[in-house]
Amino acid sequence: MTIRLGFGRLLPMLLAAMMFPLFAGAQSLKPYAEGDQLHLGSPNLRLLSLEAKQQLRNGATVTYAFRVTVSGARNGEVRGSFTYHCVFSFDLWEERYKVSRREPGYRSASHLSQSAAESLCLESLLVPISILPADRGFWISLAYQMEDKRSDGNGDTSSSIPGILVDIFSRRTKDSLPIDLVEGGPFRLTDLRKAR
Amino acid sequence: MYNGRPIAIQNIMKNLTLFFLVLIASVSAVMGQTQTAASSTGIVERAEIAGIANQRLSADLRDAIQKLAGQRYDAVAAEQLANRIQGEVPGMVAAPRILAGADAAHVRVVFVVARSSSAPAGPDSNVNSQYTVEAVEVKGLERSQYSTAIYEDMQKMVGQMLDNNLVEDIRSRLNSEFRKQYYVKQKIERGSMPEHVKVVFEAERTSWLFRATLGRVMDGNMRNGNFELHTPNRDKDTVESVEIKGIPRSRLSDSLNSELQKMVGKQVDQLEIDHLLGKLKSELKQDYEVSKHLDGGTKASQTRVRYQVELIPWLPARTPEGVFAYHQKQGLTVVCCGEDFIGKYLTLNVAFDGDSLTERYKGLNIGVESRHLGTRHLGARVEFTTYGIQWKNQSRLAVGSVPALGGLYRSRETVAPSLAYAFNRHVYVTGGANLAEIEMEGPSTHWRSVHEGVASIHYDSKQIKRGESSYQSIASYEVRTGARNIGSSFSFTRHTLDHSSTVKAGKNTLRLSVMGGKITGNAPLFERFTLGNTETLRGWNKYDIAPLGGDHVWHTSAAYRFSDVGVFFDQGAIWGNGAARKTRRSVGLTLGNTIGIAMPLNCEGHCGVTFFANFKG
Repeated sequence: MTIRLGFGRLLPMLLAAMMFPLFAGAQSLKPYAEGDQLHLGSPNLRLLSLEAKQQLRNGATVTYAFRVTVSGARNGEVRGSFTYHCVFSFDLWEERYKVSRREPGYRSASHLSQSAAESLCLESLLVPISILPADRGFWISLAYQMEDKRSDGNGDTSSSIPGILVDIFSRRTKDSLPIDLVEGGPFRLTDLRKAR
Repeated sequence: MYNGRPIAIQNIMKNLTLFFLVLIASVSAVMGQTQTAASSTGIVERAEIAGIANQRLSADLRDAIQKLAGQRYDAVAAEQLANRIQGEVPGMVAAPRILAGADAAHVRVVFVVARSSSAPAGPDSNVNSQYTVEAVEVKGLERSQYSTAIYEDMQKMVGQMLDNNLVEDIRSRLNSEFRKQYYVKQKIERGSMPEHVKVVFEAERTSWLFRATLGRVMDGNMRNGNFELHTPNRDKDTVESVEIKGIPRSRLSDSLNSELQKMVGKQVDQLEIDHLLGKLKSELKQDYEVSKHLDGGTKASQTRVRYQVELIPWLPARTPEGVFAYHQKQGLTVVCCGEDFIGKYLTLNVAFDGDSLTERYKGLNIGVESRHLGTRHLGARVEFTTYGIQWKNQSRLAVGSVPALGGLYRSRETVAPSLAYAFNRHVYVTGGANLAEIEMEGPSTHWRSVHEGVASIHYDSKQIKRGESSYQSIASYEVRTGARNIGSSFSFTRHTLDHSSTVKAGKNTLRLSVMGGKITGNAPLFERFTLGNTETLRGWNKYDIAPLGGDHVWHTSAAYRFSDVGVFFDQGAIWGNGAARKTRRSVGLTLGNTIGIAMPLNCEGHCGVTFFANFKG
């Protein structure tokens, strides 16, 4: 049997094949309630960038900063905003990850795989249920960014005039690192999975 | 902290299982010891170390431990060995445990080593800090290239637990020693022995351009298209010719022309060249700008002296002014160095400005400008800017209280075409557009438009001299308006009026300035007024007064200077629509009109002296 594929058929198939990974790996937030806190989760989210992994494999620590914002509607009034930091490091001998959450209380776990470390970090990001509307939907956005650690870069350049010029020209400063954003909603408190 | 995702559960459960297995084994061992109640007077069958790799201990200590085998157990000797272990492995505690041997007459001795509860394990502690540094290497540099002090500190790390702060400190010191000629990175690698790591500092030479442009080679200027890597010394040359470029010969008096030509054939005399430059300027009065240039002659050791004369346009350059400013509470500002970047028309500014607005912006401003479009009356400019924006925490916290602003933005890109018309050398008007797009921070990234029409009128008396005294007055009014029918997300009108007068008499200088502004509607943050920086309400911090700026502002300043030392008095108010107005005042001392200290007068709370500096031009 011969199957003939004209360009008109082939093109949509190619496009579909190219787009598939985008949808297959779509990142979404899956919050769940536990006690008086809402925990964030995102099954497909891969926090650690290639650069971060390279730094980790060079024995350095990598810090990710997160800002969790809860609003009544998409782009609507902000009900609360919380900042968290997770510190990752990679055990050179055991080839396992350690992750620590800085705030609100210090917690850490080691001997983790990459995905477990990432999950553990995300699930330690909390939103107090008290700020969430009981009877209406709400949106959550999670902005995160790897913090620039000058120790892993080209040196302390910011304290001198040439350093500042280098920073400006190279756009190598903290805020020039990409900020990633994941958001989801509308969620309703009553619909969220109750853990335990 | 953890509950939820199946994949993560699997991974963590696996780790927890391993952990509990290890824990159970350890507890069993200890319990076994107590249950079997090994005799503390038995013969040592075997001596072991648990909790760390044997290799982390010195060969001497390992030998001493092994020598326990075959001897009767000696509690004192075992305790001493435990102390030696603690000495060799900082941050760990060690204790001997005796376990039952193969028979009742024998025992096994296990030195259990564990991390001390007092050992630092802060939030940023690196999991590799449990390993011992086996070696410290420097790649890319000879030993003789860095100081002995650094080398010794590196060697002190060997045999110790990895301390990332120490590694970072040494890397930073290495970078300081090389002053940007090299940059040094650090890397931690596995060592050749288990549980050991190697610290590697990798030095890479910075690019030649980077090295060259950091003040070592560049010695010239980029203005008027002249860029020289170094200026050759021509003082021993002979003047081959003297030329006046830019004006016809008839514009000069015969006597001056004769004086200029007398330099030909003589040795280059900088004083004479400067003296004649002054005479040229004086003769051409204020309509022309004159500069001198020394070019190579047709033969070796000969120099051509060239005076370049250019008609001064009535319109001033509208490139952002170069600024180097510092405010103790707001940090550094550098806006550099745009006028006439390539040729006469293209300007380029690099800005890192935390002084003029509530935002700190950094990026590029590229302009194409003509101040003489066929006539001295007409000029045009098109400006392209792209800025990344940073915000202070005070602004971030305050922005929620002004919902109309729609939040903060992370970048700002602008195209601004404008025309200018000069009535004479004192008065000109401008009209144009400012088409800005701002990338909002959140909750999701999106762009908003700020499309404005801009018009202004400017007056500059120029410096009017009377003997040793002079007077100059500058005034301007500007209106900007954004409207939805020109595609703007913000609808507003902004008026600004300012005036300053400067009187100089001998070493005395008095400067009075007044400024006022008003915004109606909903203006974006970069259009809102601020007070409390290195030029207004000096001594106050704009983020304490109005972290998001204000819709209304007025400000006056009076400054008196004798020679290089001056005093000033600033006062002003900034407020939002419908908000209360509070007048604030400050006084201060200045040195050379550029650096100074200032103190708020009617401040509540902790208001000390603020250091500031502002160099313009």
